[in-house]
Parts: sequence; structure tokens; C-alpha cells
Amino acid sequence: MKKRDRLEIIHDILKTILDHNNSILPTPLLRFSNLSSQNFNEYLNELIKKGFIREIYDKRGRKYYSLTDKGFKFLEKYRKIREFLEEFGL
Amino acid sequence: MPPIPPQTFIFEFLVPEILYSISLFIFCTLIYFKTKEIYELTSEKSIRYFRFSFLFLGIAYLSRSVLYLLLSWGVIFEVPPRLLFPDLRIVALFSGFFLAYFGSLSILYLILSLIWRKLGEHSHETIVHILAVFVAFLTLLFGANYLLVSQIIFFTILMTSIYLSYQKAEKKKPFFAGIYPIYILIFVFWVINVVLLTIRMHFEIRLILYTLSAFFVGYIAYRVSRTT
Repeated sequence: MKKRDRLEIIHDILKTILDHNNSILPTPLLRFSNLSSQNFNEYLNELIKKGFIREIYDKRGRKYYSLTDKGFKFLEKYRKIREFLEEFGL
Repeated sequence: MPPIPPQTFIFEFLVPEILYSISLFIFCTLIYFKTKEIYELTSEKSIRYFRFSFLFLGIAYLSRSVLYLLLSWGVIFEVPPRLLFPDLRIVALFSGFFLAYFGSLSILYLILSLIWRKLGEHSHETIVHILAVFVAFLTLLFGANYLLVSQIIFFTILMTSIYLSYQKAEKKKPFFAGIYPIYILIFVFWVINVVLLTIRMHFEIRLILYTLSAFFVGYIAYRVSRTT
């Protein structure tokens, strides 16, 4: 299996959140992302810091992850970004 | 050589140089701003290096035109501009420095954008800036020939980087159908532009070179606009 690059991993994490009605618990997100927990936490922190996802808590205090507008925009533009990188040999 | 009327200077030097450098600067800044959104979304190093490569190329072309006009002035009117306006010498020195600095940065940033993965995760921008400053000081001290030699060396490294990048491409198009020949042509014309600082060329030949040079950068700007 081909090793995923950074952008592909980000895309997969965001897509997983979207596919779960834009609200997912940390454990299933870790499972679906196919990453080690250390890598997963690094990516998650990066995505929160850059404003792609946000943490939300339900009444019982359980933490969920949800996409922000920027996260939706990344998913919307992902195909174009890939095309751009490929077209310009980057 | 008898002095040439001011109209010749205006129509064969001033107007083409201003149009040429401004059109190239517009194309280059267009590339820079059109890629802003995808860079902000991805923070990809390759996109960062790519956009800075063209921004620096635009500034290098502006500096080149200023220097070229000052050098041409001395030849056309047989009066070195420094005798008329002593301050212009400082302008020429700064233009030469910026030309060498931004021209070198432009090639080096494009090299980085193509092979940064092979160079490791560390940022190589500081090294690239130090190298460009070094080339700029050499140019100030020893003249345009040193700039030409440095640009040819960088261009050779660019060719190697293009080869490496083409080899690692996942979906390989035929080489001449891809973007790489355009990168090569842009910097071939950049080197020719540096050569033009040291030798005199007929107006018509200069005009053809300028048109081709602007065309290839414009073509990249068009493809960037289409893709982003």
C-alpha cells in the first residue's frame, strides 16, 4: 500500500468527520484515520491550531470533533490542490 | 558614435523596457496572489517556494530594467549618467544588487519547490538567502560576468532538479507535454536577459526575446489561473 502524504492524511481525517455527520468522537476518528496515536494527536493539534476542526462537548461532557468553514473549504478545494501540485511538478 | 536623438531612447529603450518589466511583474504577482488561497489552506512548502520563486522573478525583472536603462543611457548619449546625476550611480548599484539577489533567489526557490522532499524536513530558506546575498555582493564587486556565471550554475542545478522531479512524478506525462520545458525556457530567457546587460543587441532581436520571455511567464500565469 502506498504511503499517504501529509495532505492526503489531512484530507482523510476531515473526510471521516464529514462522513459522520460532521461530529465524531476521538476514538473512532483515530481508528478511521489509520495513524498511530502519536501521529494522530500531532495531526489533530495541527488541524485545531489552523482552524480546520473544532472541539465541541455534549451535555455529558463528551468531546466531539467537527469541521469549521475552513475545514469544509479544504475538502471542497482538495481536488484542485492535487491537480495544481501535479500540474506544476511540486 | 554620434549622440542618438532622445526619441530613440524613448521608443527603443524606455518604452519597451517599461512595458516589458511591468508585464512580467504583473504576471509574476498574479501567480503569487492566485496561489495564496491554496497555500493558506495547505501550508505546503512546495507551494510556498513556487510562489516566492515567481514573486522574486518579477522583482528581478524590474531591477534588471532599471539597470539596463541606466547602462543604455551612457552608451546612447555618450555621457555616463553619473556625470549628469551623481545619485543615479547609487540607483544603478542597488539595481545591480537587487537583480543578482532576486534573480538568484528566483531560481533557487524553484529548485527548492521541486526537490524539497529530497532535502529533508529542515527549512533551507536561510541557506538560499545567504547564497543569493553572496552572489549579489560578488556582482557588485566584480561585475555582471560573475552574475552570469552564477546564474548558469544555478540553471544547471535547476535542470538536475527538473530531471529528479520528473523521475519521481507518479502520473508521468511525456516530458514535453508537461510544465518542465516551460520552467527551462523561462530561466533560459532569464539568463539571456542577464547576457543582454553585457552586450548590445539590435532593437528587433531584443523585442523578439522580450516577447518570448514575457510569453512563457504569462503562460505559467494562465495555467495557474486555470488550475486554482
